[in-house]
Amino acid sequence: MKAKYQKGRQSVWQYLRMTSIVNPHAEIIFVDPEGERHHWTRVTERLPTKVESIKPHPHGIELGQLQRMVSESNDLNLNHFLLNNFSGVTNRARKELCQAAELEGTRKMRAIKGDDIRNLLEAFQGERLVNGQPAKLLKPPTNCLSPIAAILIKKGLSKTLASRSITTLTRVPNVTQGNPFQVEVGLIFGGSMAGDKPVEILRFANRVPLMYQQGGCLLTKAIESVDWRQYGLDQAGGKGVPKGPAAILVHLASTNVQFTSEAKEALADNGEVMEEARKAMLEMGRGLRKHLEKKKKMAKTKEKFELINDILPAIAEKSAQLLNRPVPELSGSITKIMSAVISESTTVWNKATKQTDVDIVLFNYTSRARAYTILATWPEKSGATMENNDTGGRKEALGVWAWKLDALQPGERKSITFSLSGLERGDWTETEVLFRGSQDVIGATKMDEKFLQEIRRQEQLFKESEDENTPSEQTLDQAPVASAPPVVEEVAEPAVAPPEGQRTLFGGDV
Amino acid sequence: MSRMHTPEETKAAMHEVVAEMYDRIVKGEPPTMTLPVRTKNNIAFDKKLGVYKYGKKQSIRDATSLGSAKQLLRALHVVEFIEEMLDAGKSSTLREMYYISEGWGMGKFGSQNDSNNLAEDLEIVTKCLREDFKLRPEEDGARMIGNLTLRERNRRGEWMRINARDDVGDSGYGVPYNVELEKIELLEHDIDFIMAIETGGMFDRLIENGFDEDYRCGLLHLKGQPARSTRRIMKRMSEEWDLPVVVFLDGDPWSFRIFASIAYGAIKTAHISEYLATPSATYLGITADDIVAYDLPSDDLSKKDIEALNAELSDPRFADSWWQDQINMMLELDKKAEQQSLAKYGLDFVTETYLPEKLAELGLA
Repeated sequence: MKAKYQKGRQSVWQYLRMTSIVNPHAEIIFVDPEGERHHWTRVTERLPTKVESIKPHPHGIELGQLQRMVSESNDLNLNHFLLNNFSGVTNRARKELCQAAELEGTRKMRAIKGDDIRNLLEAFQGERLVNGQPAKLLKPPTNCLSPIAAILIKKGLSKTLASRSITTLTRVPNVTQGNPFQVEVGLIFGGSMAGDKPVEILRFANRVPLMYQQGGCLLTKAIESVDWRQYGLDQAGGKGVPKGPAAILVHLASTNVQFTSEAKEALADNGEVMEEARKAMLEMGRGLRKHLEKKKKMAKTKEKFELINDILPAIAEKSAQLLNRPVPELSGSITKIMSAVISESTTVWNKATKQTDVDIVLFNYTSRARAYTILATWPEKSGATMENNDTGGRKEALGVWAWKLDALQPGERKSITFSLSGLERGDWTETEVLFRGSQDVIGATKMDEKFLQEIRRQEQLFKESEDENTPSEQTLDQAPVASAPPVVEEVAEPAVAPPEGQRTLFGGDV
Repeated sequence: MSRMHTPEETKAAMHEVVAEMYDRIVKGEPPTMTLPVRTKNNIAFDKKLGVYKYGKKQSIRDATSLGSAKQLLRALHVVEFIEEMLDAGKSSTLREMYYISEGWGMGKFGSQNDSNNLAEDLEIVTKCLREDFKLRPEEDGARMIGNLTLRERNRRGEWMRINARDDVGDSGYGVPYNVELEKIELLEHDIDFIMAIETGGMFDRLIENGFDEDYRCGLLHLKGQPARSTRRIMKRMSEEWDLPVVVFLDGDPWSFRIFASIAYGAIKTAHISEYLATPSATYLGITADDIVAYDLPSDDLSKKDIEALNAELSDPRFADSWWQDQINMMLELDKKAEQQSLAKYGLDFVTETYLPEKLAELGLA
């Protein structure tokens, strides 16, 4: 076979580049036919979490597959067949499935023929009812999925694309037609990327780069369905691929990725997956907008500091010199010019201690004393620990720490410092500073209790999704027993409706 | 008539600006610079002087934003620079000052426009002139041709007698940037009026056709928006020789503005309108009715033209009914025409038909 080596968007190089983004634990070296060596380095020591294999869920079974499973079965009878070969089938569900299919559970497998199989499939799919309702099945477990995790997407993106800002998030797993799936997204903004071209779209299915048929792919459609203008990107008419110095990554992890064709080039339409991907985009868009607003505010604050630290002293000095008078004292003018309380924070990786050092400074440039509670976000969920926090304070919520400060006198500055250990370089690069108090603080966000509620809800979801992965398969080992575990009673219906919230930034490492 | 200040007076006036900043800092307030608002909303007709001057509206530039603070610092550097020039007996151009500001660190200018504006600010606040500051403009003075005689002191300090018809080449007499008494004296003339012309093409056409001799006039090329020295020498000739001034421009909103700055005073230089404006000047053409009356080739008004015309409708300098009619008529026609469009009827049409007809209306031909 003869082939021509190509470069560009659809090339070996691009495939490897994309692969390295979603596999930050991999070291990839590629020597191209022209002898040029391309090197994508490993940026994390963390390996992807090991996944558990799961059995198919009745909602995702097709006729041919069921026929094969029945004919190849060594199970004693239908009861055993249902309990041993499917996920989400509890003892109670087994009973209901048999009733709906009008089949005896004790029926031997070889006695189950064509029409029986069809009936069983209809029961699986909720077309045959028990007491007017479909059989109640558990959701399939989701520890079979291998999300990359938001924090690692961030690392993968930042190594291949030079940029200023990255937002990533991993949604809570969901189910469509009995198949667990999970959407992860990342948005990288700014830096040297072209501002007048459509954003680069990086699509992945189960960590495999999708390079063709971009326009026909569900993941692209999810991006196109969002009005990006409200989040700071250009987009003609609020539709289509947005323009701007950005790249958007979308990853679908699923036990059954549905493609548009055999070539596996693009994802087929699916309402639930679309909804999840779209929600992820909206959430990420809000992150981008927040970042842009913050950047604007910071630029303004920086200007004010330049004004009082450089320009004002120069004015005082020069005017005194021209008039041949002593250089005047500046503090009064400074207070009048700033007339605000200002917070500045830095988050830097400390090479020597292998810790992330956070420094929050508060200046009172007003003529009155001010009292505040200062709060800061930190990656508690990612397993970081807080050290050298000499100011003390207390935990406010998962990943939010609070310090109640004594009154800050006019002209006074106070500093809060702490270090984070248990993180790698680049894991945590920006600390959000919030405050409670009556007077505005430039450089910090006023704590609104909605934000706190959101954090608490995510905390709850985070715990739930950990519990959820204590898999329901355990019931298999218990064989047909009389009473079902209480968990089953609580689950009303296989939840196809996506859950309300999702885990952001640090919810990935389940 | 001398309006110059001594170096000591100039320094004292500048020190008042510096002291305003200094005193505010001592009081614990942000430093400030107070100057008149320089827009059409703050110019008013001064009956005594017969020109438009700045009104009472003041704007305070205070150092609460980075931009204004830098502007104050620049002003201090400019004051220092001018003091040094006064002490050393030197002068420089605005452009040179812009480049010298490279060494002023945080006080350096962002653009040439910045430095020009700041020099004007200082003029206005101190009531000094840029000649007092030893700052020369970069802009080109006008060209003049006609039977008028003046003397100019040359670089060696000697007075030279120049007749702007007999002692000059085809390009005429070049007006220097300083046209004050110590540099130029108006001696004698044998003309009936002065005609100011917007474009070089038309100026040269009139010379080639011998218009200045046939109609006993002095021709002055404005080069677009006229420089200060151009306006100043027109003013002096009009006053000292008691000659009428007629202004011949394109027929568009920008020409209207040029005329307003000649006759009533420009908004940017309203602090010295009484030195620069010639209130007796008359707008000869091209008027909006000329476009119709002479069926001149014309262009559609652009969006910017329409905006400019609308702005002129609310400009106090165009408040009289003749101007309101002209502006409204141009808006209705939606057309503008260049001086050169008269060439539609041949090269001599302008000197043989158009100008004689227009001048006859004014009783000048």
